[in-house]
Amino acid sequence: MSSPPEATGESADAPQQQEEAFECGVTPQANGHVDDYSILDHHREVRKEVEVQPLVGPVEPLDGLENEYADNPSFLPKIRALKKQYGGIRRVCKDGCCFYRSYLYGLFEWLLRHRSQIDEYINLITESRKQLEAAGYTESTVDDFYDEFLDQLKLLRESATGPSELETTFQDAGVSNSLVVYARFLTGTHLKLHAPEFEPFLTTHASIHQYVQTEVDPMWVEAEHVQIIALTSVLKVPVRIQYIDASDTAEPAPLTFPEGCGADEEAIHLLYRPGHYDVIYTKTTDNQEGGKMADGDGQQATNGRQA
Amino acid sequence: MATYARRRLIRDFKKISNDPPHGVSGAPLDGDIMHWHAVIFGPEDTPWEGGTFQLDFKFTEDYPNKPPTVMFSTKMFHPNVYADGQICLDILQNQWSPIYDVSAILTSIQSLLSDPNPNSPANVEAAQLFSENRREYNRRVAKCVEGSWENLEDGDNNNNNNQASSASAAAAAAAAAAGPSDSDSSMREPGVLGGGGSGGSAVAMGASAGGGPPALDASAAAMEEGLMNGPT
Repeated sequence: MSSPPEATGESADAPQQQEEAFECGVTPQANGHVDDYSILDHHREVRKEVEVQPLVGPVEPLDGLENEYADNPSFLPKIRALKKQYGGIRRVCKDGCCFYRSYLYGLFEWLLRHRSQIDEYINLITESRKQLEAAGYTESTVDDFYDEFLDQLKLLRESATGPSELETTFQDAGVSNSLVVYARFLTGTHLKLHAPEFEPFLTTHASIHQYVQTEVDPMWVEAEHVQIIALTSVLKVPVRIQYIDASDTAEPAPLTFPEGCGADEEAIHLLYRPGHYDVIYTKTTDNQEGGKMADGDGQQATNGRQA
Repeated sequence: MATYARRRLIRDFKKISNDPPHGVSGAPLDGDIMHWHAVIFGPEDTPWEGGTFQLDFKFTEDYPNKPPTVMFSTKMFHPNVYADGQICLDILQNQWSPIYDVSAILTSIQSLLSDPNPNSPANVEAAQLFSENRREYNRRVAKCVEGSWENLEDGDNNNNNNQASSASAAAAAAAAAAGPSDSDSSMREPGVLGGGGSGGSAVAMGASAGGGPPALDASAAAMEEGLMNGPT
């Protein structure tokens, strides 16, 4: 037998027992590797905390955010400035998918406000399938996520999903995460098919292909600017991101993607705090939403925003 | 949510049954789609050739958004496998993507066998030998290959009551695929062959307990063919 000295003879026959030991954070037989195990345990602990958060929350007033940063002199003025323009925040789970999930939520809400464009979006997603293939997403599993994305758009079109159902849809891990996965594929596809545009900006990765492999495709890896540029280029609905950090300024710093788009009231609005994105709602959107819903369903749409 | 994981696992099973990657097999245990048994045959032209390495997959309802827990139940000597069978592989941890199915996981682990990453060692001794004394490393791996046959017997004695006939069928298919190529092995020794013989009969036992006579014949035949042709 070729057992390493630290392994016991029974180990191969007792996987159940090992798993329990591992789950409890005890290092079974792996002398000298406590660190690896404790890192894994730590990750698990963090993950557990994250898992109690809903994937998307209801719209809340910004007062909660203001209270959260009451003792933070660099964040507080920016949040107060934000309150002048924005009336609500929808908190999104801090699981590494927050940009994708926030943007998709905003996109689906945007489509509910622009129902006449849903068909165009269904076409866009249908067309994207070939692009994915061209970018090397050839696995048969891709279709699971493609189908789910299309199904959800069709539910919007058939009015089976209205603003109030949207929250439930995005809280369903199966659906919500499938949408995120497809958004990651769309992002990766755009980056790979436009590699020459993005490669000059890479610092720690040898190629766009490698970057996508480690920074886009893996499920719980956060989006950076590059991913935001790519995804908004594909899905086209502009996103205005209000950046809040520990800088000296009194105002949040806004940026709109795709670059060059104006600060349209109709854009999707996100709040960025270091490491995290949430959806935010302008006061004008909240107040005038009914009036803007020329495409119909305005009343229903307003009901979904109880900020 | 429940249907998501299960639906996908059924698809994974169909895929691995209809279109099995070379040298791997896997199937759910009887009555439990969330718990799979899998086998990786040691890649040809590597020190792992001829080995039959068994793995245990445990899925949660979060699959495929979260990876399964994958453990070797065969005792391994590999830089990236812990003594308890836990595998240090990026796609099973922070690089996981729901795009990976069971076939993809198994082929990744299969290529990890012959292409270890000694920079993040789970087994320090194996990593050191791999980098500094390849001859001794290969010798230890060969012992591990030999041990995999004994383990196969033990494993089947313990598990055969749970083994689905479909699992055996899938294993048999892969065995059939891997069998002939085993005959090319240049490192086979008489002593090693003896171990292989018991391995072959162990597979047959597992298949028979699963209630699949065709699987029994196929796997036993495949194994025997591979082993009989070995010395030529």
